[in-house]
Amino acid sequence: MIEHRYPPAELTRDYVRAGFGLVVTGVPLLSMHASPVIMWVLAVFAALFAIFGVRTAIRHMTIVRVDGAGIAAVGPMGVSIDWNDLGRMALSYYSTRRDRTRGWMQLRLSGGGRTLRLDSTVEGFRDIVAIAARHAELKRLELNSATIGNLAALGIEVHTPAAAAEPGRA
Amino acid sequence: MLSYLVHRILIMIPTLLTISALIFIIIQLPPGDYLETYIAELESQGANIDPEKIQFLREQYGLDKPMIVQYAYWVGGLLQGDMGYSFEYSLPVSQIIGDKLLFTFLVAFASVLFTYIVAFPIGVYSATHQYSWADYGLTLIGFLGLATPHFLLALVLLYVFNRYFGISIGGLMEPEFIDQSWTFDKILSVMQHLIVPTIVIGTAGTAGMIRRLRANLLDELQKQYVVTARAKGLAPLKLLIKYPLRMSLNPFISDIGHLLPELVSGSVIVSVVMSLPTTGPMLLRSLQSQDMYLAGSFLMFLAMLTVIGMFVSDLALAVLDPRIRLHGGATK
Repeated sequence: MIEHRYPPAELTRDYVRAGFGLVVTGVPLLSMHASPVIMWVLAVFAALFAIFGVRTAIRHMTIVRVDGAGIAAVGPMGVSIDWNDLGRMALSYYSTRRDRTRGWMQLRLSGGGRTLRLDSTVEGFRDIVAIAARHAELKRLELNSATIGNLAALGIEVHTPAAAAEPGRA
Repeated sequence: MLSYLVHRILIMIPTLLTISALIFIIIQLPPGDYLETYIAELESQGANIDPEKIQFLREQYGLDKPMIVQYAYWVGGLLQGDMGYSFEYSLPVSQIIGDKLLFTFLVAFASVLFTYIVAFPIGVYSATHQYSWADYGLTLIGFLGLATPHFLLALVLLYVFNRYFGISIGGLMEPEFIDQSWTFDKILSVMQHLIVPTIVIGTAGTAGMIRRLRANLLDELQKQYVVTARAKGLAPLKLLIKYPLRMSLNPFISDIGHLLPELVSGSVIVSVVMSLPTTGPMLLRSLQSQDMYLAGSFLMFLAMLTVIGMFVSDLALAVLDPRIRLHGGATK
C-alpha cells in the first residue's frame, strides 16, 4: 500500500487564497451598506471562498491510500473505491492563463456510487493516475478525448475502445 | 472546478481594481476638470462667474481633494452601488442611467442571441459544404456584413421597416409609451423596435463569427482523425457533432468575453443614429464634457462586462474542454 498526502506548501497557498478571498469579499459585505445585487454577489463569492477553505482543511487531514484492491481518501468525508467497481475516470486540466500554461490537473474517479477527486498537487499524482489508467484500461472504460490527451501529456498511454478515434491519436 | 473558480475569481479582483484606477487616471488626464470646462463655456457666453460659488462647487464635488482621495471616494461608492454624481445633469449617476442600463442590456443580449443563432448554422454549413454555391453566397453576405458601416445599415433598415412594416423611426418603443408604465402593448412595441438595432449591431459580429467558425471547422475536418473515423464507418453527422464541431467551438466560446463590451461600446454610433435610449450616446457626451463620475461609471460598466464575459467564457471552456495544450496550442 502506498500513501500520499497534499504537501504543506500547496495547502498553505490554498489557505492564503481562501483567507484573502474571504477578507476581500467578507469585509465589504459586513461593513458596507451596498446595493442588494452587490451584496448577493459578494455573499456568493464569500461562500465560495469559505467552502474552498473548508475543502483545503479536509485535504490537510486526508491521506490517499492506493493498493491493488482500490484507492481511498482517508480522513473527514473520506471516500474509497475498489478498482473492481471503477466505472468512470476523467482527467481534466485547468489553467487560468491565456496560454494555458502553469495549470493543474484533477483526477475524478467514480464507482459504486462514490466519486473521488484528486488534484495534481497531491504527492505522487502521476503514479496514482497511471494506476487508475491501467485499471480503466483493464475494465475497458470509455475515456473522453480530454482525458486521453491529458494522460498523453503525463506520458501515460492507454488502449481503450474510444482512444483509437480520438483527435490527436490518429 | 472549485479550485478553478477560486483561482479565477481571485484574478478578477485585482483586475477590476487596476482597471478602475486606470479609468480614473485616464479621465483625469486632460488638463482641467468639469468645472473649468463649465466656466470657460459660461465666459464664452459673456456670463459673470462668482469665484466663491466656483470654490463652493469645487469643494462640494470634492474636486479640490487629491486624486487618490477622489478615487477612493469613487471606488468606495461603486462598492455600495453609488456611482457618484453627474456634474452635467446635477443628478446622481444611478438616477440618470436608470432605464438606459436595462435597454442597453436588452439590446446587447438580443444582439448576442442573433449573432449566435445566425452564425452557428451558417458557419457549420459553409464549412461542411466548402466551395459550394451556398458557401460562396453566404461568404459574400458575410463579407458584406463585415464591410457595411453600422450607421448606413441602420438608416437603410429604418427606412425599410418604416415603409413596409409601419414601425416608427428611432427609439426603442412608440413615442406614446415613453415614460409610461410597463404594459403588454409597451413590451410588444419594444420587441418590434428591437429588430432593427439587433440586426444592425449583430450583423458585423455575425459575419466575423461565421468566418472564424468556418475556418476552425475546416481545419478540424481536414485532420487525420476525421479521415480515420470516416474510414471506420462513423455516421457523418455523429462524427461532425462528436469531434470536429466540439473542437472548433473553443474560439466561438472564447469570443463571449469580447462580444459583450464590443456590443455595448460598438453600438454608440448606432444608438445616436437610431435615437436609442441606451447608454452609448450618454457615454460619448460624458467623455466630451469630462463629466468624470458619469464617464467613469460607464467605462467601469464596460470593463465589468469584459471581465464577466471572459469569466463566463473561461468557465465554459474549462467545462467543455479541460485539456492541456502544449507547444503553442497544439494538443498533444
